[in-house]
Formats: sequence, structure tokens, C-alpha cells
Amino acid sequence: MRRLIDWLDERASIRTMAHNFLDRHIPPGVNWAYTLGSATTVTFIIMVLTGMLLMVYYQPSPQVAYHSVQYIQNQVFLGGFVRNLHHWAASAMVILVVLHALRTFYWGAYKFPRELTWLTGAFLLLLVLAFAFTGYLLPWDQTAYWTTVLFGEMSAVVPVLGEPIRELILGGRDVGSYTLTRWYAFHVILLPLATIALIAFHISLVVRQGISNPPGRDEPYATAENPQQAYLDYYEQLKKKGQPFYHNVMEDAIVSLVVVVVLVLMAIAFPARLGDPADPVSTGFVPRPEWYFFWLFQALWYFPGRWELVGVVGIPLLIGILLLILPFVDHNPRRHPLSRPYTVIPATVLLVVVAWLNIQGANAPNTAGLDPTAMTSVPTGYENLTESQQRGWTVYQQQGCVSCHAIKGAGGQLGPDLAGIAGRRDEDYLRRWIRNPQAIKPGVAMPPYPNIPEAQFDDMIDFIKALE
Amino acid sequence: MANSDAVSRRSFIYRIIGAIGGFIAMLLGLPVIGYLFSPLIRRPVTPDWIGLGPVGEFPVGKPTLVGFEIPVQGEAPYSQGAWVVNWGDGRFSAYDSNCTHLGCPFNWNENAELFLCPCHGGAFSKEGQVVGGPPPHGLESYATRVENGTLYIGKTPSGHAERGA
Repeated sequence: MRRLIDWLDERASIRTMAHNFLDRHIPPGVNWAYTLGSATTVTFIIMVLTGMLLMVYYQPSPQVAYHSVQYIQNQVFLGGFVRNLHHWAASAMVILVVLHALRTFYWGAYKFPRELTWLTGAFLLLLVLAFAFTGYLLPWDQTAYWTTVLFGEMSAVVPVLGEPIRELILGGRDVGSYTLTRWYAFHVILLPLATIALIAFHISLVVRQGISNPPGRDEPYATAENPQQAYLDYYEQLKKKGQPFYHNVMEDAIVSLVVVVVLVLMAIAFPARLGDPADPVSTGFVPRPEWYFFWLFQALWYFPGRWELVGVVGIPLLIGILLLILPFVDHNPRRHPLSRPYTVIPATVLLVVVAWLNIQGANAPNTAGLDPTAMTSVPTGYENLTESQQRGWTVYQQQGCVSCHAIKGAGGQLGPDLAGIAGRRDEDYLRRWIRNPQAIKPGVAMPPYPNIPEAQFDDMIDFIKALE
Repeated sequence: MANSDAVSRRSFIYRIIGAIGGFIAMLLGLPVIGYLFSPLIRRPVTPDWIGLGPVGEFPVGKPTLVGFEIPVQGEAPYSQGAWVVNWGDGRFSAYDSNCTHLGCPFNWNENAELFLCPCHGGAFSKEGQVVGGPPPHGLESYATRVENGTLYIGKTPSGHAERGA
């Protein structure tokens, strides 16, 4: 073994490389929070390996894609395990890469001289999301198909260029076989090559610039005449106080081990979802993206009509741009999160809003109000309805009211929650409103219901009045 | 003097190498971009009219969802859906089955006499006009034609009903 290493060292200088990597001094205080990058890399390696294995059986064609995934899941020995691992590692990678970015943000580690490290990292985050988009379609089940239709429509919202952008993304006017092959090619070759190249560059920058120090409140360089040079001098001093990097590899190894063990256990215990095969001729199917895009779907509820452009394209674009330009617009030399409220507070607010939207999106009911059997039980809290109110509840369901109106949170969210509506509006107003809302408030989103027979209408009003 | 000569020789060589590299990149890169942009350059060739079936299959007054394939010359066909309304007087309407808001597949609610979309509550009348919710315009409607008892639709959705009352 030793002779082999000697032989390799003579030809490839592997000892020097290992020495440069493992024995470089890093600042004191580098702790477990610094293991997220290596854990992300390990997860990416799992994705590449399981992805290559999936390619052995997967067939990217609408006629057979679904069945080949079914075959992998149910027939191939350990096929389910490999697919589940790919599925869960994908989620883990999104979590880890976001945590890694947050750690970098809050520690101020994107500042001089690590702006380029941040920029490559931001592109890697976008690449991870591109992987998520393209990979989501490949099983070609209902959710995959309709979510892709929906994302195609979202991109078509862009003024002027929307339609060409959509055709470019979908490989045609509609989601079809060339969408699948296009996204497949990007998912398995183009994105991985770009990602591997960027990861290599990203890590080489980390080695070149050194691991950032955890910022203290006392930042002597911040008030220096030349804060950048002062920071470099300060960092050199810190490194002298620190230990060689190999000590921290232990922490990296332990965290990676935990991540891998958790993923393996999840792959054994929880199968990856595979819905019904994609059917372009469906009715009332509600597409749902992967959980980390729930916030985007949820945001659509709050941007109706001409505001759609803002919600669908504007906000994601703005977040993406802010992410990329952050180190070039934030010139504050201070790094401690408490010393720079003007970046930390808005970012934290944005983060909370996105997290809140995501939770809302996760809990949003599948608003299949079109199917009269979808919500058969009377809303909780209203079990003691009279006979007429019971009939009114049936009419309420049949007319599709649940599509847009929730009762105590259960149902659609386009219109107001109807719990307590009877206290806010009198019967006459409700009757006029439901028959023709436009007459009371022109431009309102609610459709008119002039055709409900009078007796049924009375029952429904009776039911609505019971919603106190 | 000799030194400045050496620098200009170096920069001259760099420029030549850069020009060669740029030319190679362009020679290979432009076809790559063209290849990837093909969907915008080569439009798919589809027939002008597509048969949906005998007129008798569409009950009068009740919208019916029909699945059909759009044959594309030299390509795999696209699967599509359309809602067909038989008005009973020989006229037919056919709507693209995707909501004009974000493309979700909507449904016909018989009781409310509305096309309702489950995603964000878009509502359309039987005539295809927006009567509620976020859709920016009415349903995409295909041109229709009846020949020898068969209903045909035009190749792409054309025009849309304006927002109704």
C-alpha cells in the first residue's frame, strides 16, 4: 500500500495535494454548522449514482416512461430502493443546500474575498432547482404531467417573450414527448455536467480563500481605513490560532454518515410516490409540485388577474436576482448578523413569508369541489343541521362552492371563508349577492348563480345562515 | 526596446489563439444553439382539421369531454382534450380543455351550469366566457365544422370569448 502511494506521489504529487487540502489551517470556531456543504456534496454523489442506476431501466417516452418507472419500482430487484433513495436524496439536497446558503448568509461569509464562492453557490442552488423541475416530469404520472403544464403556463405569462419561452422550455406548444426527451437530456447530462464543474470550482474557491470565520461582535477590520486588507490580515491571524482542517473532516464525516443512514432508512420505509399515468384528457385534476415549491403555488392565490405576472414571474425572478447580486450590492464590511440589520431583517422577513406560504400550501386542501362526493361530511362544528340546512349543504356542494370558499379553513381559498358569514351579511344581501355578485361589486371574482331553482336556493341560504 | 517587443509578440500570439478559440466555439456553438431552439424555428406541421367523431356522440346542451390525437408530420402525435358543446341547431363549440389561467384541467358542473377549475376557482359559462375567478380571458375555442355527419375542429385554438357579465 505504501509503495503504491509512493508510486502515485512520484507521478501525481498526491501527498502534496492531500497536504494542501487537509493540513491547511482554518480559523477557530469552525463548527458543525460548517458541515452542510460537504453533506450537500455527499447527497449529490448519491443522486448521481442512483440516477445512473435508474437510467439502466428508465425509458424517456410518453408511451412507456410511466411503465418503466413502475417496472423499476415493483419488478427490478432493489429497484424500489434505488428510486426511493433518489427521491429522498433529492429532497435532502434541497434542504441541505438551502441551509448551507442560509448559514453562509447569516455568518456574512459571502463578503470579501468570497463573493465568487457565493455566486457559484447561488448558481448551484438554481441548478438544484432545475434538477427538481426536470426530474419531476420523468415518471410521467398525472402530477408530473399537469404540474409541467402549469409551469409552462406560468412561464407564458411573461409579456411578449412568454410564448417563445414556453415553447423553448416545453420543446413545443404543449407538453408532449419532446418535453420529456428535452427535460430528460437536461436532467441526466447537461445539468449534471454543469453542476460537477461548478462544484469543483466552488470547492477550489473555498480552499483558495479559506473557510470563513464565525463572525464575532468585535470586528476590528470593519472600522479600518481599508477594510478589505484589514480583513485579510485579521483572517491570517485567526488561521494561526486555528487547527489544521483534517480535524473538521471528522465532523463532516459524521454528519454525512447521519445523512446517508437517514436517507437509506427512509428509502426502505417510505416509497416514492407514483400516481396514475399521465392523462391529457382529465377533468378536475389539481396538480401539486414537490413540497419545496408549495410556496410558489400558494402565492398564486394572492395574485389574481393582472397581478399574476408579479406573483408568477416577478417574485421568483426578484429572489433569484437578489441571490446572485447580494455580495456585490452589500458593501457593509461587518459580518455579524446583528451588526447588519438592513440585510438580515428583510431577508429574514422574506424567509418567514416563504416558509409561511409553504406551510399554507402544504395544508391547502385538494380543492376538488367539482366532485360532489369530494367533501361529503358536514364541516366540523356544524354537525347539528336541520333537514333544510342539510339539503342546503348538498346544494352548496353540487354548485361547486367548495372550490373557492372554505368553511373554517376546509375548502378553496379564492373567496372569503364562510364561517361566520351569517353574522356579517343579512339574508337579503346574501340572496342578491349569490344570484348576481357583479351587480353589487363589478369585477368581483365570483360567478353569478341565476339558475339555482328557488327551493334549492332557499335551502342553501338556510345552510349558509347556519354558518355562525 | 527588446522587452517591449517581446510583450507585443506575446499579446499578438494570445490574440491569434483567442481568435482561433473564438472561431472554434462559434463554429460549434451556433449549431448547438440552433439545435436547441428548433421548436421555435421549425413549426410542427399538423392537419387543418381533426375529426372528433360522429355528431350523434355529442348530446345536445351537455358539454362532453373528448380526447383526440393531433398527428404531427414526422413526429409523435400529441394527445389533447376538448370540451364540445352541441347547441342543437347544427352549431357546435369546442374549447381547449385547459383553463386559460394556468392550464389546469377544468370540469363541467352540471348543477351550476359552469365550467369550474379546481386549481384557483376559474369559472366559465357554457359559451366559454369567464364568469368568475382569475382567468384573464375566455376559453380557447377551436373552429368547428361538420362534414358527412362528423365533427371536425380546426388545428389550433383560435380566439377566445371575452369576459362575460
